[in-house]
Amino acid sequence: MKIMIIATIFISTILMNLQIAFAEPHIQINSHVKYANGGFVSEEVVYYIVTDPQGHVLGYDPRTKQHYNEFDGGYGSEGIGDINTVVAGFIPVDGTYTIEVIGDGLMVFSIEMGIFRGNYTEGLSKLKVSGLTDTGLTSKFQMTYNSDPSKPAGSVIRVATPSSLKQDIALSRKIGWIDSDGIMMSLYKKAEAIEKSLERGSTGTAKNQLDALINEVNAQKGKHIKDEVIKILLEDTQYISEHL
Amino acid sequence: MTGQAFSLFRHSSFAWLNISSDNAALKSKICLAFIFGFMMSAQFPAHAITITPSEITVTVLQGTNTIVSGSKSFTASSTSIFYFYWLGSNASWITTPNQWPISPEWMWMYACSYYNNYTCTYTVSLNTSALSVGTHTGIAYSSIGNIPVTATVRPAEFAVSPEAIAVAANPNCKATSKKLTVTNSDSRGLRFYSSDDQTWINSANGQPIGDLGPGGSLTTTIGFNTSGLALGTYTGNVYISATGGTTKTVPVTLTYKQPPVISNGNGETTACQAYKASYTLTPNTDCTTTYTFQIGTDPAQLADVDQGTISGSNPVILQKEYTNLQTGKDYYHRLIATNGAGTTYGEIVKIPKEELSKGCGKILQNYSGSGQEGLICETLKEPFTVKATDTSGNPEAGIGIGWQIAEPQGAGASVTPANSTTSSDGLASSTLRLGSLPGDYTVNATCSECTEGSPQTFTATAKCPDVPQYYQDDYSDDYDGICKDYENLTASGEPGVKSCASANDKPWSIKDKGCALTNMAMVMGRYGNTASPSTWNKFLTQIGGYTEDGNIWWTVPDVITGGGIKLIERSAYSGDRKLGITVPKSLMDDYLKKCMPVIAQVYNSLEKSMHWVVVTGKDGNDYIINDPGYRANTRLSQYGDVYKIRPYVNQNGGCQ
Repeated sequence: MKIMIIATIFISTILMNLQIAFAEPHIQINSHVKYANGGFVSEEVVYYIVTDPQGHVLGYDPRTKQHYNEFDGGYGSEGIGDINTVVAGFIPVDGTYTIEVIGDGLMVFSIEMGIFRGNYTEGLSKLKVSGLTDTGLTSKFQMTYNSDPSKPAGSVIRVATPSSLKQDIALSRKIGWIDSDGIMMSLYKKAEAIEKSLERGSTGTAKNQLDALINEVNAQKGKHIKDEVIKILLEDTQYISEHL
Repeated sequence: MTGQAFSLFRHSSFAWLNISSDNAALKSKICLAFIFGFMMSAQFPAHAITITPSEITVTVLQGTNTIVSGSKSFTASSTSIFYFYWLGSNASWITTPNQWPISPEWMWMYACSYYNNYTCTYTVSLNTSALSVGTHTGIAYSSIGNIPVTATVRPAEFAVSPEAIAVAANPNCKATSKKLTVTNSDSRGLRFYSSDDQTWINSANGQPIGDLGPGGSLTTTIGFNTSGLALGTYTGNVYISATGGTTKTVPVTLTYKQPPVISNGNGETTACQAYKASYTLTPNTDCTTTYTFQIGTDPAQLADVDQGTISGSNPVILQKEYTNLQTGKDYYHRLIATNGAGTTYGEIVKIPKEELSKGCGKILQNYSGSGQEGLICETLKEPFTVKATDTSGNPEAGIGIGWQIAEPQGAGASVTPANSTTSSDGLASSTLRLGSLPGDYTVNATCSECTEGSPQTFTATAKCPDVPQYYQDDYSDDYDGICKDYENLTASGEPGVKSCASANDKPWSIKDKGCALTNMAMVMGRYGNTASPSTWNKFLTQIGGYTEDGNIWWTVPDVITGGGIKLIERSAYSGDRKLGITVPKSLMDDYLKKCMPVIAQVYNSLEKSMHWVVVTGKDGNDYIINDPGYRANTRLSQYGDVYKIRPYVNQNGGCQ
């Protein structure tokens, strides 16, 4: 309560001093590199590429060392002390943005998105996703921006394929979030079976196989698979299931 | 008048005898004529008789008589005797020839028929000399009918000039004589006479003053005798008469002992310090009138500057140009005039000092206020003031001064008022409100009337408001919610950063990690928010203003000011130290010129870590910074390259 009062007085003071003109919407995306225990890795960054609804690209691809500035916005690493982050900032348009995280070594990463629709009473809407990546690998997310004040400002989902599912299973073992090769292999084979079923067009079979994988993941919760992986894998299977 | 035939047949009735008269004698004559005619008709046959003219019409000059000749003719069908005779008239001014039976006319008439082919001539006299001007009618009676008589009496035609006489005299100035000119415009010669009705007028007293043929003119002198007259104004008449009595009256006015009359006319400025005054002087005398012009700055002590004389009584306009008058002073002038009857002092007239400065040189001077300093968008404490003087240094009041911002344009600076007028001390002022840009401001004061010194230039310097300096080591508050990660030390050997998970975790503080936060507090302080980094920290924690690693969401100012303070984010403003990409420092210049501080990412080579500072201005090729982390650092060159800039623009313009 005390903090609320302080915040209210604070905002009121500012607004009294600064006459409101107009506000533009803004999205800021921060990426972080983390240790498996959640600590931030010093001096490490993870780059990503943002593709707007029109297909324009902003970001940096460490694989090709290519910079993209196809729509105007800020992009680059910055930091406080040893902790660095790659920050992208731009004025959004309605639609779906794709964020493709590009690995530059084995790492856990998190992506934060702060969405400001120009309404100071609404404030910032924040979204967060995390994942695993390694050198040359990518993880994709879809972020949707909506300026309609009657709807949420945005949402984000992990974009998955059987191939990315296999990648997440393998990297989870590599980073230690799955502590058993056997479990990893079991999950990996299930993911391969899903991939083959889909290649054959057997979506019904793939659906059953997805369910089996989900069951196994949930069965290992609190055992050989850390919660962070369970979240990632369930998001992967959900996306695949919804796009069969 | 052509002849009109009258027919008479003796054996017809007596109706032809159209005589209407109450005169008893006339009736008696008529009665005898009837009797006589009746007797004769037994002896003579009837004859046709004509008399010419059948009526008499004359125009005569007033006071004269005329004689009208006419003839009577008649023709008889046989040699017979016929009788014709006059029976008188109904007007005393009409006289017919001898009348039957008193005169032997009838005998003569008889003979007329015999010796003169029955034609005779008779004369009718019209005695019009006593008739008034106008038309008069009457009838002459004869035995064969009435003859109408019309006499038009006209006046004599002549002119007298002038039509009135005005004489001004006083005991020291005897009245002079006046001349009248008489012109005969009549068709006949006339004799003229003059007379008057006052003892002080000397005319011919009814005696002839000359004879004039048609078109001729003469001059007669009218004298005046003021001996014994009391002071005052007198009136009388002079009469000019012509033959027959036609008279013209010339009124005479004698003004005896009146002093001059002075009236003031419109004056005008003719040049710098010169003024032409105009007076109308009516001398009221035919003799000499002296006058004196007076002028001075004290209406009670006017000085004579010029004198003159005039002769005659006609009003004259006197003009006097006073020159070399001093500017800055009111002057007073008048005219004094003296004739034999006394002295008249004209009304004292003021010449306002403004009139005397017209056409003079005016000098505009820079009086005070130049060289002041102030913050952008502030009104300077002292106004700019000019002074207008004449060439002698006297203040000039009422001079219009225009005030204009010369430099810089487009910064929103203003002067109030934009137009002013010098007061009685010659001063005019205007106050500058500095615009949104720092730097030198120039204001021109212009004076279209001035011959020197316009425009005058005033300067002022606008400075940026100070950006408050906060140091993060003054604040040991827990920062954000991030704690020290002793499991994962940084490359420099310090604890890493992790989210606080347990009570045993040790939080980082503003002192440790709050450079970006402190920078934001300083930028917001520039725009009027005095919240400290500590207060900001509490607020950002409350609203989720931090990212998970302890950085701040850069759009927080947008959020809390509704866009009033807006983050400008462009690709050009983003570098990447890991990739070796720097941001040109010059990109900050446009913001700094508008007093908008910029947050900049720098690299602290001593600690080998990234750091944020606030760039507040430029000093030559270097930039002035507020460093939240290092008190000794005041210049950007102490860090080197810039890897990112975060400009915040005040959407309401540079002025707050």
